[in-house]
Amino acid sequence: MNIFGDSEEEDNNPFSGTDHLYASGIAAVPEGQDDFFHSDALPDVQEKEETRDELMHQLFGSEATIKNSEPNASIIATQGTSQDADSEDFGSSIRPLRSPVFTKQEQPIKILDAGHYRDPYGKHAIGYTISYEEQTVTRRYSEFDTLRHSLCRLLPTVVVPPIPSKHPLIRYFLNPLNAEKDIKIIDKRKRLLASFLNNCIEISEIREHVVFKKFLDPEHIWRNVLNSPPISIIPMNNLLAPPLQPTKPSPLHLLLPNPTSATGYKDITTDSPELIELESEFMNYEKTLKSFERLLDPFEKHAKQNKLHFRALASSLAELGAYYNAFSLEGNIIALEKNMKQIEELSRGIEKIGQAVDVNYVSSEILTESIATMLEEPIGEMIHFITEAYNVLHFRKLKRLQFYIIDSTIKARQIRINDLKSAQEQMDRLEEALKRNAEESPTIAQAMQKIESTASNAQTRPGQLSQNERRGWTELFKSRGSKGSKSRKAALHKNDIEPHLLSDDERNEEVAKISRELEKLSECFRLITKDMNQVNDSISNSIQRLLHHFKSQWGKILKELTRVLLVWLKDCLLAWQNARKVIGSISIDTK
Amino acid sequence: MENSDKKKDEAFHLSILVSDPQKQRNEHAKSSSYVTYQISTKTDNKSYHNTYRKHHQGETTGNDSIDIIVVHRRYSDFLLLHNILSQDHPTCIIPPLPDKKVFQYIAGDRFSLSFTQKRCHSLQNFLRRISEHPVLSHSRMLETFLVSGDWDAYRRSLSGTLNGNKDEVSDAFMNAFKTVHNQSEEFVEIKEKSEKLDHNVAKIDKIFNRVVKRQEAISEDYAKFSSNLQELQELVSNDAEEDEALRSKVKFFNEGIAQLSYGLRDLSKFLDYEYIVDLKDMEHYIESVKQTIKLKDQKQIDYEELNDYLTRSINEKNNLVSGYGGGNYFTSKLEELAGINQEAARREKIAKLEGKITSLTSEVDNAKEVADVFESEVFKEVNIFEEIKTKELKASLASLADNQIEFYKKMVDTWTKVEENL
Repeated sequence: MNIFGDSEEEDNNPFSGTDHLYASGIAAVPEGQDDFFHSDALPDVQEKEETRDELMHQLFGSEATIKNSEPNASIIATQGTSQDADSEDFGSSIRPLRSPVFTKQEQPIKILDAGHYRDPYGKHAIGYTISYEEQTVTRRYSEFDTLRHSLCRLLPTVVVPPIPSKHPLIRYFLNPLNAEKDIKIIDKRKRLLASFLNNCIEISEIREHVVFKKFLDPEHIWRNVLNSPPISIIPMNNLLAPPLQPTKPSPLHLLLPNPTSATGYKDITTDSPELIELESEFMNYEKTLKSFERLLDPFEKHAKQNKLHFRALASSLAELGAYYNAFSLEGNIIALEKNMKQIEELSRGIEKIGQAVDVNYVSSEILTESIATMLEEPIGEMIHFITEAYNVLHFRKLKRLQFYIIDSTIKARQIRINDLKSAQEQMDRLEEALKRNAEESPTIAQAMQKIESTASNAQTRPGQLSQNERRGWTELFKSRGSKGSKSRKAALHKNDIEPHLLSDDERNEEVAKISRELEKLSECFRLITKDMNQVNDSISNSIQRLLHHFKSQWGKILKELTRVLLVWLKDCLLAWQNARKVIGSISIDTK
Repeated sequence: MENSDKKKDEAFHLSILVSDPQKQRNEHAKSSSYVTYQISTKTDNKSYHNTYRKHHQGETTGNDSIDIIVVHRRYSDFLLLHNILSQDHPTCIIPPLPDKKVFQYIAGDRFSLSFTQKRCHSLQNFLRRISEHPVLSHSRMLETFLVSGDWDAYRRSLSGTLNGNKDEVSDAFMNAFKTVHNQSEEFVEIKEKSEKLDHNVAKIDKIFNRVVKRQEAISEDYAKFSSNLQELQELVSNDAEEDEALRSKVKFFNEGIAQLSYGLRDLSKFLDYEYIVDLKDMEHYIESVKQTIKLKDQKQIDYEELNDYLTRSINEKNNLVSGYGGGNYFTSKLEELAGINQEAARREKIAKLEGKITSLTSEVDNAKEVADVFESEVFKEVNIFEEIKTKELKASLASLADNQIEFYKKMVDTWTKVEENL
């Protein structure tokens, strides 16, 4: 029986108070990326695997770790092999850990690798190698960023999936050398960018979009894509372009009013019941998104906290495992022939407890990682999504305001034209009556003359109107429509002089002008109505898809977390059961 | 010492359970309330049962086979037992009692569940160690403690007449700076190893405290998480089919999370109330070992000092006999001037020294014997400690593992079900 001999061999690594992590037997470097991401990591980052495998690598040793010049690595490695060769019960306590955890659902797009590369213009950057339909293409973060930005502008009615935010600039100031290499951030980005692409591909508008296709096509140099249509011809203002295809030229869109803020939105009183229903649908979307947001914020906070607590627990457990191992060697104060066997058995038992604690530590460490990738990140992504959805809803509000402005302008013009027409009729009737009366009454004939003279005095006024005319269609629209309701009213006041104060000619002129305006306006109205329908449909679609995405995402999160938790629980259970067996076999009989 | 001989023919089974801390109001109303602990003893020792019957004649139904003897004792009773045992058996490593925790008294926290539970477990450890000790388990005092119905009267009659082992401690303190010259190798090793053991156990204790705190934090996280999930469940409680599916998923998951939260809390409670108490008790026990060894060292020091003194006296006498020394030149000159007969004075001195040497020799022999006996007794005790400690570690590690297994098993079951439902 050389059980004891074996275990002693395993544990003779130098144990000193500070170096306890290595003394734990299953020595692991929890944040060991620094060692792992050596200078040689630059060319062959390809070797990087999923987080768990990586951790297992570090823990149980392999060629990869031996290559590392770390003195401890060789200890770990030999330990790993000796553990492999060890008895069955030992092996079984470790083995289940090797089963892969991160078997995420098959995703159509994968980011295989993240590492330094030289972009086509010779600049150094971290490149993310995307694999899609047997093609691979390497893009850098800024290219993802510009892709997303372009998509947002090209598809104003679609909630474009978010990408991780930029490195906080302060990092570069605090640690200029390390920031670029910060493997944790790169890993996180790798995951989130892959998730971005997969989210994109689920959205038909984006999937079918030529820009997105070009992004995934290695034939295209991204900078050229950016400088060519359709990206190069995206209009400055999406409100003055067809909402579904902003790059399609449409001169009539340029005539639309351009509200800059949605502040006037609340003033809109919708009268038709269908519109009210439609509005309440969108109100509901907004409400749902708001409540999701309210829910997700504390979720994210707690997930973060949970992660930190687990990390702290894991580090305590690591220390604990180390001390149990020390304890297993120094667990007795007297060694005599007769209790030698007992000491050995006890020592082995304590050692097993130490191993159970170690397994506990390792799997807690993995769980920490999983909480980050499976809970914290998707929740963060959802929060980003909601912000995006708000932007899209805001776009709709502006569109809606456009519609309202046109609608109310038309109504105002119609009222005006009716006023003018009825004033004309009244005048005609009046004139007729007066004429008839004047034939009989000289007093009235006198008064008639007076009226005619005032009317001729007013002849100076039309100059103003013809000036208005010269400003052209767009100008007119803008002066009447764009400045929000208040200035619009003011404008109406200024231009619309009480109809009966105008002369017949003036009235006729204005009637003719307003009819021309109305013609144009109704063209615009048809356009904006069509726009509105498109926008409503598209946005409603997009938001519903988003809510659906959230729900399925939650389903996934719960499933993944359950699986990860189960792995954690099962690993720990097995380790403790093994320990329990050995403890049970300690003979306390010294005779 | 006679007890240890008795042990062989009178070996009996003794298992003791301390449980159910109860707050008691003092009927004399002078002092405040106190806590009693129920002590249940199961033994095949006839004497116990006889005594018990004697004390409870009126109460029992006359049934001969009383399986379990139940008494109630309070902390100060344990303290009394401890003091008496340590005075009666100076060479024994008396298992330690839990700390007095004066602070808790001041803070008024001594009736809290966590305090009494921990103390209860520690008292249990104390009595178990005694019951496993071959000498102490035969103590009449223990029997009285475990069985007597008149314990209160017994205690009152004793109060004031006992002063604990304070003088020994102060003695040990006085000798704190003296070291033993001829340390036996065994004890050097024992001391060294017990230091290490103490260090390791203390460290584990400390880290476990941290682990418990962190587990509690995580348990709390999950409680919060669970309430978040509850909200999520409410949020998706439209009647759409898709929502219905998600809602039930969230519900199942949330049940799992709630279980996890409770499970972790229970596990932490076990660790806090039992395992860490075991560790603390082990530290105290090792402390007792060290104290006993110190006492042994003190006997050794006594012997060594006497021996030194004896050697010096013998040297002095030899010098006087051989004519040299016996004071230096000046003293002899002075004595000469004073008209003292040098020869006579010398003889007188030699005679005095001889007397001294004879009495010293016998005392040295005596001290040597005491020290040797002490040493061999302590050595035996260390062996006993080792045995009890191993048993205890086995039990405590087993219960640690059992509790961990119970937790993980339950959680694996819970979560397997959750997984099935998702």
